[in-house]
Amino acid sequence: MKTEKYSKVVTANRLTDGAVVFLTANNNWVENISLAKILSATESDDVASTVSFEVIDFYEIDVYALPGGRVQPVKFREQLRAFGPSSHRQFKRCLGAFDLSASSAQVAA
Amino acid sequence: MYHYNDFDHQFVRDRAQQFKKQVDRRLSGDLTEDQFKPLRLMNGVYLQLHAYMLRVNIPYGALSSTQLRKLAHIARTYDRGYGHFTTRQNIQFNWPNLKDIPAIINELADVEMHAIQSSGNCIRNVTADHFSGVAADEVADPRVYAEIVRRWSTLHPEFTYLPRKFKIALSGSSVDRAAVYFHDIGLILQKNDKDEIGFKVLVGGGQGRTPMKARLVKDFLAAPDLLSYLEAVLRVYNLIGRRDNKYKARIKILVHETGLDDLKSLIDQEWQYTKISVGDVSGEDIADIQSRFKLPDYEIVESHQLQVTDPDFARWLKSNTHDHKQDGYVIATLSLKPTGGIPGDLSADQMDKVADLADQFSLSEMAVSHEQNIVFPHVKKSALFELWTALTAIDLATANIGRVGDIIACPGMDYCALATTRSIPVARRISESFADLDQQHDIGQIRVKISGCINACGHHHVGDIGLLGVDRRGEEYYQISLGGRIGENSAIGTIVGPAFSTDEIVDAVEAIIETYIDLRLDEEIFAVTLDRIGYTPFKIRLYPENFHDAA
Repeated sequence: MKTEKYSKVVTANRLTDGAVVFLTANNNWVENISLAKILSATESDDVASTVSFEVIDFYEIDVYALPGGRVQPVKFREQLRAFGPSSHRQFKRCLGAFDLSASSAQVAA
Repeated sequence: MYHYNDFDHQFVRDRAQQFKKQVDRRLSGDLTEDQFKPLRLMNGVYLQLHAYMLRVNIPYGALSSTQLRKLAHIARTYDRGYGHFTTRQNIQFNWPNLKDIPAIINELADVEMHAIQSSGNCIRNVTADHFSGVAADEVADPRVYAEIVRRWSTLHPEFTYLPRKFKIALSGSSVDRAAVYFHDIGLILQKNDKDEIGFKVLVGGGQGRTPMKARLVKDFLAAPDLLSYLEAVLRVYNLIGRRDNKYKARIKILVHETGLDDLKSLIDQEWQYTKISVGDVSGEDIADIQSRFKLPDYEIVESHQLQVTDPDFARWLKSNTHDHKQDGYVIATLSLKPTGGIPGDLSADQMDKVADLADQFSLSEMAVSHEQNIVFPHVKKSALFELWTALTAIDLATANIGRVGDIIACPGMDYCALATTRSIPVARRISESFADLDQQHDIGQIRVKISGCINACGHHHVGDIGLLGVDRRGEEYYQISLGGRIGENSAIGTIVGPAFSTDEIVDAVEAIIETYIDLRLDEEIFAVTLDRIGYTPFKIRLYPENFHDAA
């Protein structure tokens, strides 16, 4: 179901190491979601033309664009992808990301 | 232990070389992901949430100290310094770079390991009782026959594209430690009245979204008939198993839809052909493989009376050691479930130390269990205190085997692309809430198992307490089932009511255990109390709002 109320970013996994990456305004792929190009809910970005074989399975995700330039995926699965596994905090990604050891309900609130 | 022959060595080297070329072509763009994906999966390479994952087989759980040191080296050199032991006697590396995986496969080949058939719709890693070869209660060593099955099933050309994955497990004892009733084929070793070895053959067990207990198809299959019969079962499944719906493609659905008697007839018809085309497993082959699993020359030790003064050591002896078939020796289990830890994780440093301890205390041999622990099969009783002291120093001596802290958990949504909820954080919180080991021992034998989705890799269907994570409008909830168990009296757990939120689930597990403690008689274990009192007392405690009229 297409959701109209959220902003969006484009995400994929990087071919070389499988890392989660996000598409920037300059058509680069970066690990920090806060650097991703924010698409409005209705904007349809033609990413297919910019995607090379350097990433796998790109797709759009719903996000909250928060004050201070922070970006937070709406779905919990995408929060885990963006910020790293909650089970191994040493592999946390993106400094300043909220604490995923809390419950999903708290995170989504 | 079994060792590769020249053919085996050459084969895994060739495969590593072949895969390197495939990876090179993928990285240069010559292969698309659609073209590459089936090739990487045939070599155990998945793409998970955060990275690639390499799943390495540990056939029937048998692991040497040399192999474990190599796994430590791989974890340290190519991954992030740890490995994760799974519920299928495999180890997974969660962070390898694609370009490094051919080198990892080459390193594995150095120590007679590989990742072939750890994914895909083929016959997966053959699993067996983790006490194989040394259990006091076993009829014969199932690893001998597991190795025969492994050889037969590895790259079997007819069974590379089955309707769905296929799992075979063996037990050498009527005490089932390998969950044989929940595999596509389960084989239980027995002897007939002529003292010949054969198998009770079970077909069509499995967990996942449609859990089913395997059905008996043969009371006694003579050992020489093993491969011809397996070939017949697999051929029937390959020919008429469903391919239209992946959720109905496992052999358990075929058993259910065809009917046991009709399916047995089809297998027997096919067996008439495979008896000729496959033939008997020769006595020479069996003897040759048996010789490779010959038990070590144990020291004949005087009856050793352990002097136990340390209560922590006494507790560890009680839960983490088991009877050995050789006088003066015991089987010791290293718990990979420290309080609040991640079930099944082992750091590279711990791996190196465990390998050293295996050399010192277990004749360099180990077994990994489907319960995500490591077994030392050959420990002298007289060395137990020294072993326990050494294990305590590396946090692998938690005295909780078979207790509430010995939780099986799948990786869940922290890593797995299929999962709908997390498992590991729930396991850690439950483990922490029962941190008091005296309390765990007072509670006694109980199995808590957690799956992060309906695929049931965390075996929740067969837990005394099973937790299944379910996604409810983006939030993690956990459904509780009680009464699951493996063994001859195998049962699939019964869901007791609506799921609990992640904030509520630990309290709910505590409430179940408190109810059991309140109502158990004498030394009754949880499963026996549940059989005696039924589900209602637990439901009243978990869902009091539904029972207020009855109060």
